[in-house]
Amino acid sequence: MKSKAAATDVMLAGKVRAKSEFRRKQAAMPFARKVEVVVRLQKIAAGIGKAAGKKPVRSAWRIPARRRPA
Amino acid sequence: MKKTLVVLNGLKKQGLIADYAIGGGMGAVFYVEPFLTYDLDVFIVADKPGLQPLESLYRYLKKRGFRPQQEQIIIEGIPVQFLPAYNKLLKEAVSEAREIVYQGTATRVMTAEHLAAVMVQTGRTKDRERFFKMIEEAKIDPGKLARMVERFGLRQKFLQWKRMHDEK
Repeated sequence: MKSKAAATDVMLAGKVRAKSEFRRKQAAMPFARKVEVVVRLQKIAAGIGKAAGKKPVRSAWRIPARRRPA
Repeated sequence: MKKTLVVLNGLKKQGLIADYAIGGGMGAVFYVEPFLTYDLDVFIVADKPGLQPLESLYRYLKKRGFRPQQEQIIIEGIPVQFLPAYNKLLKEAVSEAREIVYQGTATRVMTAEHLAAVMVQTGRTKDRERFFKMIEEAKIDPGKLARMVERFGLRQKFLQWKRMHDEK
């Protein structure tokens, strides 16, 4: 019977293999499709940036005054 | 992006630049898994030698209604950064770039080997990360890259990065 450590190694190796296989498939996509993905990533990043920039201000105003920390 | 490429090709037709090639992040995306990058780095070889190769280019583009924003100029919604090919490696990368067709429009992208060599030469942290991706995912001719690295005096840095990658 395999030890727990050996089983973990096998599982991790499988994960690494699957990940690199996925990356290779992504790399083989047509350039136009890749550009679409980049544009989507830009939109997500812009959304995250926007949310991160506004959050402290918005959340401070949303908390009723009596429940705001002193 | 197609419209942006049409404008870039127009610059060549107008004689404002002798040639161009897409490099940087978007150039790398051509060869590897897509990742986040913000602008389109366009390396140019100017038509006439001069101290300010970008001046006439910017003047022309502004006249066409494209507005500059920091170090980029927004062409058809895409931030484009024009970079003059300022050394021998970049000049070679532009002249030997691959001709590709993007949604029916011809354009030029640096070869994988040139991109990897430029990353080593530029040497920032993000270049190193991209170099690792290129090594793992792009189809690179190792002999061609090794010769290039020797020719442009990048051997030491290349070996250092290669070692770091292998130890990862």
